[in-house]
Amino acid sequence: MKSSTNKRSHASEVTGHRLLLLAACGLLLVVCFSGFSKKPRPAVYIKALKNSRYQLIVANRPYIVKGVCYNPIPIGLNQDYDWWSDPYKPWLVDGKLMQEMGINTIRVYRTGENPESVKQVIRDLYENFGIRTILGHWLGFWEYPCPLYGDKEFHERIKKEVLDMVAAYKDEPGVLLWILGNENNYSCLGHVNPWSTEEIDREADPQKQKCLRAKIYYSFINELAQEIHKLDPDHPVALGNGELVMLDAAKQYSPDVDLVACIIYRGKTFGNLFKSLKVTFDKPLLLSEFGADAYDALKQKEAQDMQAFFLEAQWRQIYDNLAAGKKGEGNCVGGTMFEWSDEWWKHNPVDVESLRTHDTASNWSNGSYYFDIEAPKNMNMNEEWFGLVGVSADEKESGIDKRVPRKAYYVIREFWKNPAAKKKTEKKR
Amino acid sequence: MKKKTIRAIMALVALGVLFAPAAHCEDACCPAVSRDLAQAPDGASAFQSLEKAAACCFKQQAYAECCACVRDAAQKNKNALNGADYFCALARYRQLKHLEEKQLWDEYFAKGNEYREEISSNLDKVFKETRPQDPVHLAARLLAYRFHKDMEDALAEETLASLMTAAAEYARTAVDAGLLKEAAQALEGYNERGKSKELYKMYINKTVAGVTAPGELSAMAFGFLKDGNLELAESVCDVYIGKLDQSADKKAAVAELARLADAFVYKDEGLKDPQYAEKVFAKIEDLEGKEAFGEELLYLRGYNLEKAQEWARAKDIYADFLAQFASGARAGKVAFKLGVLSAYCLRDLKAAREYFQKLGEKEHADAHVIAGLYQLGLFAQWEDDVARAKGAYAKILEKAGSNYPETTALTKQRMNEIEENKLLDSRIKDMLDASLRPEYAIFDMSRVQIAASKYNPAKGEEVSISSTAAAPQSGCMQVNLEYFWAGDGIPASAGPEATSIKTSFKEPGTKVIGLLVKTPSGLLDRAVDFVDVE
Repeated sequence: MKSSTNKRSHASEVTGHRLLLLAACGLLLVVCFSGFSKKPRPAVYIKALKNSRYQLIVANRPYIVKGVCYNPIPIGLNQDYDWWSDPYKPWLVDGKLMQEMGINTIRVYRTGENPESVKQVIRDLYENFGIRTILGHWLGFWEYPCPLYGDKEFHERIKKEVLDMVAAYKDEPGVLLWILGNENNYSCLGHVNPWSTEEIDREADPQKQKCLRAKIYYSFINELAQEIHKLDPDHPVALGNGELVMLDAAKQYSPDVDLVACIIYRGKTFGNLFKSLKVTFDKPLLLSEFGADAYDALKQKEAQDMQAFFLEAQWRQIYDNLAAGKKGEGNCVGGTMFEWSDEWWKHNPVDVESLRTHDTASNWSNGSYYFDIEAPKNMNMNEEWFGLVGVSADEKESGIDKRVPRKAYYVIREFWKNPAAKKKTEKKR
Repeated sequence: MKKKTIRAIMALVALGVLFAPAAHCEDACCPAVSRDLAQAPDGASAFQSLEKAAACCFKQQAYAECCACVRDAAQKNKNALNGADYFCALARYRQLKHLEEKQLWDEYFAKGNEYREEISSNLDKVFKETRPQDPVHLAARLLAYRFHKDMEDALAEETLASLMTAAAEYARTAVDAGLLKEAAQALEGYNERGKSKELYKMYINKTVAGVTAPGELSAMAFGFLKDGNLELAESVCDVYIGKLDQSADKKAAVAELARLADAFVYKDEGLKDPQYAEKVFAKIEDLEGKEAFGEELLYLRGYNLEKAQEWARAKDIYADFLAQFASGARAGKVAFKLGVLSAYCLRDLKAAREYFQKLGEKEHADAHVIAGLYQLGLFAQWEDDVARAKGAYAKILEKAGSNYPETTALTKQRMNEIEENKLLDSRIKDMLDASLRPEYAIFDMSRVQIAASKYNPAKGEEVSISSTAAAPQSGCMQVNLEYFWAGDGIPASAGPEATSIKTSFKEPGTKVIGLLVKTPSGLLDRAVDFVDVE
């Protein structure tokens, strides 16, 4: 009887061990898939490297924004035209040309009226050409009489618009990131689209007035950034800023933006921009608007080479300052050139004749674009001539004004195929 | 024409083309370059030969050809090897500049990257193979700086630091300091004033090391001034002043310093550096005290400071002048200047009034007395002290007679305003507000400047007054600026779009010209200047 008892006892022991082992495995599985498992990475995010260098990561790979600002207003129409709903779908023609050039991103300053149309454009560009879209909002900068950043109702209305935009498009795979505002910060200086509050009006010192405006504006930006992050953790939020003006205030009041999208027109180079940003407001930099016009205001004729010269020099510096660029600050994630195509409405948006004319009058002056700075009254920047492609008034193609690529299109295309940085890396291998 | 004839002509043309003298570096420059390089006994001589080669070759834009020629010649003389790398880098640099300046875009875009790579790799070779004591090393450091600074890239700062280090090393042992001067001039061109001054100092220290006679130093300084090189002139003067400081004969030293100061003081035409002139004046005061300044010299010092817009210092010197030379020929002018400086530059209405009141008490009503009374009238009218204003204006009309028609006309305008119960001319009121009200202290003339084409015109001589305004940053949104001129001689036609004016003055005296620049949201800044009509 002793042997059968022993056998039974041994079997129970083995069963007990097995049960214990099973329980341990089960516990291990639970631990692996719950508490200690990492959260999935957002689709697009900023990766911080050593020494304040940054990369934009998209689908787990570093992404250099090689983009253009996009606003394909047909000849004869102005900024009120809702091109998103254009039956001829200019983005299908443009997308192909862009893809051939190597463009991977477009930037739009605002979305169209019909969300379904907007989604269609984003999808068409992404699915057909691999081009992603940066979506922006003016934050009421151009509203009449002025952007009322100090007004609660204005705040709430703009916030709703922004969050509605994010909610509508955040799930589109083609969306890259959000940009809040453009050069709205200049309004804090009080000279452009000036706005005020009672408190600001009581302050006699103009310098303090600027600081008060900056506090209001950048705090608003931060509030928007925080709300967007809650709603959409998958895409970074950029602060659109003219130059580095008032970024010391942004550092204080907008710490939650993910990157700075600067509008810079400094001619051939960006100077010490990358280093200055690092020191002022250490965030990654997207050059969201830069470039050169293709009209020589001094010689009074088109100057494609001049445009190509400036753009090529600008891209060389962008590449120097990417995270992979050995020589630079490593805080640039790329840029969106101003702009894809000429816009014939810009000189005079309300004059019908002017909308049909490729105006050559200059809208502003910038000495950094030195070839034609000696034009009368130094007015050398021709707003209707910034396109990488011109648009033809005489020919249509696929129902839209025919696109005529300029020299810069080809020069940048070739540059992107073989930027100097790449060449050196290849040599080292 | 017969076929045979045509063929003959074509053959002749072909022969002509084949043997025609071509303007290539090989023919024009290469033989001399090759010979000099082959014979260069050391690196320094080889470098000098390269400088000659550069002058010849680049004039003909024969960049690649000359580089090949130099490399070829350098194979025969190892003293010239490093120079060849430098030369080829320089050739490509100059070539890129030429392509950009002449807008030769095809080659610029097709070859630009390749040329930039060549510049970098050639310079790297030079740095590896040479020492800072070698002239070619310093020249290469300068070229590296120029190259990166032109592109404003991330290496611009680093190459500047390397250049300065190399220059310091070079200065220790070099015999020929010419490269230091060249580097200094280059940095001056890039607006690196501080670094440029350092290099000029190194150059001068080497150049004057063997010079002992003060007269030689003085001649050297004036020589540089004549050549238009202020920086070098000042560097030599610094050394010269050091020697004068130690001179036993203080009176002679002061006389010589006065001569130096005179060379740098403000003047309408020619080189000037008012700040440096004041430095020399301060040295005079240091050596012999205020007594060293006679009437002319003291006035010159005050005037120089006025033109340098060192208002507070100018006022101090003018006050000294008035205390010492109250009965001098310039006393009235200086008293008036003290008044306008106090009011318009230093926000001191009380002091301004005192000066003008004292001036107004003078028996003889010269131009400054009349102008001083007018200022008193303006202040009173601005403060709504009608009685006081009328009193001052009445005195002008009584004393001026027919001698001062411009001031009389202005006075009558002011009187009309009072009599018709109108406000003071808005531009004058705004100018006085901006200059005198404490809450406007932020408008310190840093954002707007005006400059006259002549500061000592004759009566009736045309004077242009131009302005520069540091427009507020606004990206591509142009800020509309408006210009409001106020003061003496302002043409009636000068509207808000007038960034400059042309005028002339029929009366002698010191004229006050002011400008307010406004943006849509308010005042940007103000500026004021003074023109002396003899």
